[in-house]
Amino acid sequence: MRTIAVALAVARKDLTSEWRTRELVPALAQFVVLALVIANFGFQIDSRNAPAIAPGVLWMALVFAGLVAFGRAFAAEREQSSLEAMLMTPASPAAIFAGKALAAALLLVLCEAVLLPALALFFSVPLSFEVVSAVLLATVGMARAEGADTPGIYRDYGDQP
Amino acid sequence: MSVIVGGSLTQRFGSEVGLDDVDIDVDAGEHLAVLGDNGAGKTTLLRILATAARPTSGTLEIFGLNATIERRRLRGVIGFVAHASGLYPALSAAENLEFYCTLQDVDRKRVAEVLELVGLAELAGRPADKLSRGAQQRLAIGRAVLHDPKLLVLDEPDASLDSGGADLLARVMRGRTAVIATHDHALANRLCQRTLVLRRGRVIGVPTRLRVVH
Repeated sequence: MRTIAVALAVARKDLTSEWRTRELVPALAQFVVLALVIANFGFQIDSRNAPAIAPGVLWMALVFAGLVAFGRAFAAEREQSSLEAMLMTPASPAAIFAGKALAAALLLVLCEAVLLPALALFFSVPLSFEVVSAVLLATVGMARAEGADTPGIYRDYGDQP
Repeated sequence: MSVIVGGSLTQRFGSEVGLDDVDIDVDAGEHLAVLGDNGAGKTTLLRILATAARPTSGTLEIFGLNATIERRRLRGVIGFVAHASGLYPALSAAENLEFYCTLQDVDRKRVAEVLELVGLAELAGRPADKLSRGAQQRLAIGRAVLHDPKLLVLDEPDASLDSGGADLLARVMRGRTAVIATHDHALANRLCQRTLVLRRGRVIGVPTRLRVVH
């Protein structure tokens, strides 16, 4: 229960900070729209090749946006030296990581709400339940992949040397 | 009874020696000032005592626990003020403390008490980035005592504090064991019973017992 409470508190703190500063979401939304515009002109999209090109553009935009979102989640904490302050509490580093990943994933979902309709508009491809599900699953996967950062945190701040 | 017992504490950063064979012993309720020039190893020593860093070698027991292994347990009884405030700029002073209430498993009622203690009750709703540097430092000190720690580790907490800073530090250190790094010998004399002087990572002389001025 305490792990969940810590994770939710960390996520709420990140989302509140983002709501007040609006640093990340506008930048991510701008990035995904720009990626689509550039791809639209760069690949000379027409009705025949659009269905073949659209998935590649979608995943490229999504993965790069995800890298920025999840990378920024920890970078801001490091810049403010607040990551150490959090880790200097008895709270589990895993719970802290989970909260940060949850917040970053939710912010990425907001960007996907821009990305998917824009993709449908630029590439004239229909948005299906399967595509939306796959994108959401990929978001969860990227959040989990960010766990690659946690061994370093455990090494520096965890109990075992 | 000793709260901190450290033996031959050494910290290396590659080929550089940050702390060299330092012994430290702090009794319960005692206030120890760590003095020294820039780069003497004060921050390195305090980060080890706060469990923010592991020594390269040496032994350290805090409250009878191995401080290099049982770090999370110890963090519940240690309050640490580091060089950087580590506050969340978009959150208000009260929100910063409320967030740490969850991490420290402390009742949120404690926030009002702590804001009063550090003299920020009237600025509770102001975002941290709109606070003066001194007020941010007061908030960082408040965060360090939020969970009512038995041991306080304060790394130059007087930096940016105004003339009331010494009184604030005296209030938060009262009834607790404390290790404080400072350049201010007058402050050390006022707040601490002993000093430990570092130079190039080594202890100079023997820890001195100060005349306590109340």
